[in-house]
Amino acid sequence: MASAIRPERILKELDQLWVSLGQQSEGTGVLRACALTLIVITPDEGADALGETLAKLMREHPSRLVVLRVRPGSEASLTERVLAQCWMPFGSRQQICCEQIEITTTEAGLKDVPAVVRALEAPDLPVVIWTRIHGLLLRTECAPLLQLADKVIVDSQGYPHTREKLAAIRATLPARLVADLEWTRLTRWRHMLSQEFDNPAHLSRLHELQTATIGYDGSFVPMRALYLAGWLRSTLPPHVAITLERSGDAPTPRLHTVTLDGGSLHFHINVEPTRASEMRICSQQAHPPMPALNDDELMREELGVTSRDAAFEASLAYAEEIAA
Amino acid sequence: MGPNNPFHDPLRFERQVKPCSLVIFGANGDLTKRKLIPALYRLAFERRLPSGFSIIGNSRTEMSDDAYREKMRQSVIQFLEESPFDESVWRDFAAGLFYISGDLRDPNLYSRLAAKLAELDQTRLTGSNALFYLSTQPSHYAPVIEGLGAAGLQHAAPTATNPSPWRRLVVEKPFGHDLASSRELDTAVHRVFHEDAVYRIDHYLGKETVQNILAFRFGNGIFEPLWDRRYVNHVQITAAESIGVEGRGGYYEEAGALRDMIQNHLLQILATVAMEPPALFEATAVRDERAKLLRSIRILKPGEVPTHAVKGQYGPADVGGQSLPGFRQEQGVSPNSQTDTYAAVTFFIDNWRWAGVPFYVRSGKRLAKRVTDIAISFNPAPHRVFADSAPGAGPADLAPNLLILRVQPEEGISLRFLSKQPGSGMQLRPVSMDFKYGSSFGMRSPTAYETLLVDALTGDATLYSRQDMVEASWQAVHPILEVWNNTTFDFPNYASGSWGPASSDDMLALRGHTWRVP
Ligand SMILES: NC(=O)c1ccc[n+]([C@@H]2O[C@H](COP(=O)([O-])OP(=O)(O)OC[C@H]3O[C@@H](n4cnc5c(N)ncnc54)[C@H](OP(=O)(O)O)[C@@H]3O)[C@@H](O)[C@H]2O)c1
Repeated sequence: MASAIRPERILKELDQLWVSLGQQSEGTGVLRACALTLIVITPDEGADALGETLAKLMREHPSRLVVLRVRPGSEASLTERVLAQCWMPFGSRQQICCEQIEITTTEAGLKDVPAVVRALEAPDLPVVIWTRIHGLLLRTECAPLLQLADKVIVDSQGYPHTREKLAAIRATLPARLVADLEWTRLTRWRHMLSQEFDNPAHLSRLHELQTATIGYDGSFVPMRALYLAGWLRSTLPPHVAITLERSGDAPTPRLHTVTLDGGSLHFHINVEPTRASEMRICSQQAHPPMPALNDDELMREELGVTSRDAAFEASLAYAEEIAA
Repeated sequence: MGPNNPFHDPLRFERQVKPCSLVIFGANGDLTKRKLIPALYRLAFERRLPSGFSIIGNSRTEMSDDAYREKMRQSVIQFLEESPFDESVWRDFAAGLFYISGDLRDPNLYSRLAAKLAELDQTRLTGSNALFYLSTQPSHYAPVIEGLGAAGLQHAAPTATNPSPWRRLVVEKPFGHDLASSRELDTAVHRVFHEDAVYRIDHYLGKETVQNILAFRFGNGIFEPLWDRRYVNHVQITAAESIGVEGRGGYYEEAGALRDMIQNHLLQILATVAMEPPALFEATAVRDERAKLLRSIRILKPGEVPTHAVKGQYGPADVGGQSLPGFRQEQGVSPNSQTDTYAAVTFFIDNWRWAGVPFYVRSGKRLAKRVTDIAISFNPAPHRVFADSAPGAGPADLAPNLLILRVQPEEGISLRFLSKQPGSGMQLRPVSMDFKYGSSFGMRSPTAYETLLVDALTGDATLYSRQDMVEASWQAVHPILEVWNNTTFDFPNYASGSWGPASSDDMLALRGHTWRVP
């Protein structure tokens, strides 16, 4: 029942928290900063491990954090606690703190959550929802929660694409900003490709391209590969044939290569988990660092995107066609 | 213009540098080691540089490419700020680092340079684009420019893939040591390069906070209406250093605080604070407004100089149990030196917005602490509602609203206002509301050289100075330099660790103001 949690009490606790932090700071003071409300939906189990990721995020995107821990259960129940994330910036004597509200709910209690969260939003600032529970936001009881958000961030890594899922993501697009961390993981790939074609010597031969091949490994096409295919479709001339090529049965499907070929142009990126990456364009070769990015790095990028992402929308539309 | 790159994604990719070469004259010098190469490495680390990006360093010392690479590797490790050193990034970066030894007065150097640039076009596809960076002593600027011109390096012929290759020139400060010599330098530059290709660097303009002044002023609606003579009482701009000349006495003896800091950096800051809003955030529009402001600075008459400008020099002192030499005791400094290690000036801006508002600007060495900030002091409330309830204190007079834009060490913005003291009665006291850039956003800000190098490499001159600005700021300090040159000062006149000479306080007292303690 929602009455188990009174938002005013939470806000009062937050105020008290700031007062006591100020008193503990021995005259150097505590700074509070807030640029948005970030609602993180996560399975209760393992949620503690998320603390470090969130603390890192707060440095770049200071927020009022509402962490919604969801555990299985058919009986509605909500509990809360309030805490602060503080750190001392390098070379400073002053702490910087962000507030965190943690709400634990059973799946059955989810329907009571929107009313509580609505009262807890930091006023006049954008609300972003980051869900770490696959498919949860598509459930009807979450619809009111979704309504609160200016931006929704999902992560479809490890899940097979289905036409329905893509359609569901697309359906929410007109109303709000939607992001998929699988798309964010592609930024580095796309950037490298773009950088090489900043060179007029390569760009002038773009029309020679005939094929684009995306190599992946796994029992289903990872969303990242599909987004990449969609993006290439939306950027390359229409005559270029785009194919997805499977090369193995990795337990976690992954994207490993992209090769553009035609005429005198050859471009290839290969990223293997066990080896240094390799980038080749025509006769040039480089080994740019392509580390797998953590959630905090992906989220830092995503929270920095506050307007419509036309490239993502176009890629999503084509990905849907390709998946069909 | 060639076709557009369809893969660009401006929402997520930072502005990209197109393939090109960077030629550094003075490649073995302090600035190159401490600032330029670390900044370029950092840009490579952040993938801001294209894969064929190449650097050619020149100075006299004989060195192979590999020896130069090793030397620069050590500099990067030593001087890289707030970033990790990554061997694999360095390897790719160093593969594009080359060195040509030779005297910059030797014409032969430029033909070797031309041959190297042509070779890099072939091997690293640099598209004939090149940026020449003058990081050597100012007396070398003219010979290098002449050498480049004689070898025809200021232009590159269009190629099949690059129909409009560019050549640009970055000039480090100082741009002359007075109005006449700045014009001479300008003539030398323009004999070879078109003004559009010239980037005069003032690294203060590349500082994140100085750019933030523009964001603060022109991104928000609430401050600009207050930004004029009706609400602003006066402005104080301070750039204080706690250190002395640190072995650069010889150089400083020739320069002085007015030339070294106020004529360039602080007048640029003043222009950023006081300029009119540009129509667009674009090089010509922004620089036109800055230039217009600098041209509006009232030129002092010789007779006005003593009441509008203060010259100071630090003497020896014991600070914290340590004996510090006075300026005249520093190495390379004459025992009778008349050089200003401190300068303060009252400027007025003769335009509609700022008529009658004093802009106090000061800079000095061996002051109480290292700080650069801008304080905008607002007029007190027009009617003193609380005067009686705070007997004697007159808080509204003592603590006018103050907006402080802090440039360093801790970048940020503070607003001081009056608030009621808790308890019964109506006692007011000033409180300060702080926004600290570094602690609100934990991410690393690019250094001024990173910002400015990307700007020059991408052809964006917004944060660079232009000859009309350089001349306007020399004009503003010219009468002061003239009068000071013809006056003998009784130096030293301030103690190390103080806030400067007493005459500086007197200058403000003339208008009923006092220097803040930043
Ligand atoms: N250092 C800074 O932080 C800083 C800050 C702002 C502006 N600046 C400006 O930047 C410029 C460079 O300053 P810097 O401190 O780096 O000077 P620097 O340390 O004296 O470096 C100049 C380099 O030029 C080379 N050189 C001298 N004469 C030469 C010649 N005839 N032919 C070829 N190369 C020659 C020297 O190397 P070889 O002995 O090997 O020839 C020397 O290492 C100056 O204009 C300065 O005002 C410097």
